Amino acid sequence: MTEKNQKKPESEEVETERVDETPGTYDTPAVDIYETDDAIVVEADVPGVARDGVEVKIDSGVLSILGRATRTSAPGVTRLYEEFTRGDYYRAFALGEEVAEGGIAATVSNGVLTVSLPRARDTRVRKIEVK
Amino acid sequence: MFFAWGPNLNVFERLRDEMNRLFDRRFFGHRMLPVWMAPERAFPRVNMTETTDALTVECELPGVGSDDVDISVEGGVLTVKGERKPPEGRVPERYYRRERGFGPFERSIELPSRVDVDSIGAKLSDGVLEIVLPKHPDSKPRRIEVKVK
Repeated sequence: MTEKNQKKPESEEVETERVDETPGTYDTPAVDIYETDDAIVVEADVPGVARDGVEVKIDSGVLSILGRATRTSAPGVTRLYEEFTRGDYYRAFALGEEVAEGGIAATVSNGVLTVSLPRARDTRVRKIEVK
Repeated sequence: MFFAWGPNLNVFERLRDEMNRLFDRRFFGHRMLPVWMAPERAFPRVNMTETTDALTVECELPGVGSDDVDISVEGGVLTVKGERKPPEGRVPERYYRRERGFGPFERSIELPSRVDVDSIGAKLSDGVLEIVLPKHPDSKPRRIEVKVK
């Protein structure tokens, strides 16, 4: 993977804004959520969003992802047919207790935002070797 | 992801297909182009804009690399096809939610103007494919100069 967009753990953030009060209209991105041996991974389709347009936050056990699309507006352009808006994306998820506090990583590539949340130590899958 | 047209036996789906067909046909007075698949089932979703010089088609293709998409124009129809592959090296043990599809896709769009096929350009960035199709000179408005003698 090429780009990394590290977010600080919540204790270092000074904002008091609640995650579910973001103003504005947003599209809801389609997501896949799955778990691997040591992490829970959220993959969201956010076409049109570049690395600097992404905000990933954790607040009181709620993970929120916000993707701002890079605007392309040119004068003198006539719109003929439109199936998608080049809008911003927002979605929030309540996290269970299996997510560890720190070490959350987020990357954006080709319009897909991937957030990896490490599982707390004792919830990780441990394979037991059979002798 | 292959969707075939055909008679629908489900009443609600027939109603939806009927509504989609209305949108396909210039119903609202501005130009709507016929597409071959029902809008909400089609991938990629597309936008089309024009200037006097060119048509631009934008396709939403998150997670698709430039090697996995193929663009062609023939007989006034633009075809975008390819495959959306899941990221390599990832081994999900269990899914909690699965809303995104993977696999081959194909979509064809009829172009409202004649284009100059040799100078079509395409750029894929942040999951949006932008195809610029310069209009053929015959399709561009031409100003006729009036000479005064």
